[in-house]
Amino acid sequence: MNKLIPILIILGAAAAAIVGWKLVSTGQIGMPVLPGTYQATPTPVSVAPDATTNEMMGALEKTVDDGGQSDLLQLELEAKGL
Amino acid sequence: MSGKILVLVASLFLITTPVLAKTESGQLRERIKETLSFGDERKDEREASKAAKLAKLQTIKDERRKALAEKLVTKMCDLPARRAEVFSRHLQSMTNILGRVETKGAGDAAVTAAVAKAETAIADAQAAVDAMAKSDCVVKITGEDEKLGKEVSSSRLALADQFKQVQAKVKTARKAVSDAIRVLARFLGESVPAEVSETPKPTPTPTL
Repeated sequence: MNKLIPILIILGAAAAAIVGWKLVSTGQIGMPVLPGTYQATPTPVSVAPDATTNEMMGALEKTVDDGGQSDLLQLELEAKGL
Repeated sequence: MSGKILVLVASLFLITTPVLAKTESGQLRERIKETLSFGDERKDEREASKAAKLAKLQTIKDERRKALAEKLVTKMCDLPARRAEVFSRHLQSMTNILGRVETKGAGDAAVTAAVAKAETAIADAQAAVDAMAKSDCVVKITGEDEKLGKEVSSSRLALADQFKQVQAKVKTARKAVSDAIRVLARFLGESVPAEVSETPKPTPTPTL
């Protein structure tokens, strides 16, 4: 039994390292996954037939974005390396 | 003893495999989504235009600068189509919302007029978005090493200007939909919601 404990610890650490590395490398934890540096494409919103005007305005609020400013800023930062 | 170890190793393998499989399928979905978003009838022309601009960069001697310039030119040529996709999704959302406004406010002249105004604004914005999606790459590159920085900078500014013009029309459409919702609220006797925001609301940073 005593010999088994170190083996278990090593195997557990190896498994955790593999899973951790995959999660970080695929961006599921840590850095967000974005296609290149582009903003993600949103899913169109819809409203329920019985939605109140307040709920409609809430749905409309989801269409507000920066108009691509963050993508342009990313370009500007990268262009400094030229 | 060795039997127990074998069972443990097999258990660990079984635990980790689904997690790894999930991450691979997530990556694939992202890749498919990315590919689909580029699909339109002018993709080949845009790709040819981009390739011509990238070819001009082959005269740059410094490999690091050349690689970076290629990356930037590729992004600048791809961005309008991607931004057009984002704007189109927003306009689609606005159309969905406006449909509800129209249904709930049917028969009221003020609501009908506000809906018609918003429909015109959305159509105007969509035309601008379509034009941007079909436009040629705004990047202007001569391939002269000493001009590279300035050319990339001015190309980026041209892109920013292109985005700004289309965004202004999308904002007008959003404001018109917001107005229609407020007119509907008055008609239904609901409390009138505040106008839609002009810019994104800042996301609060979580505190530990």
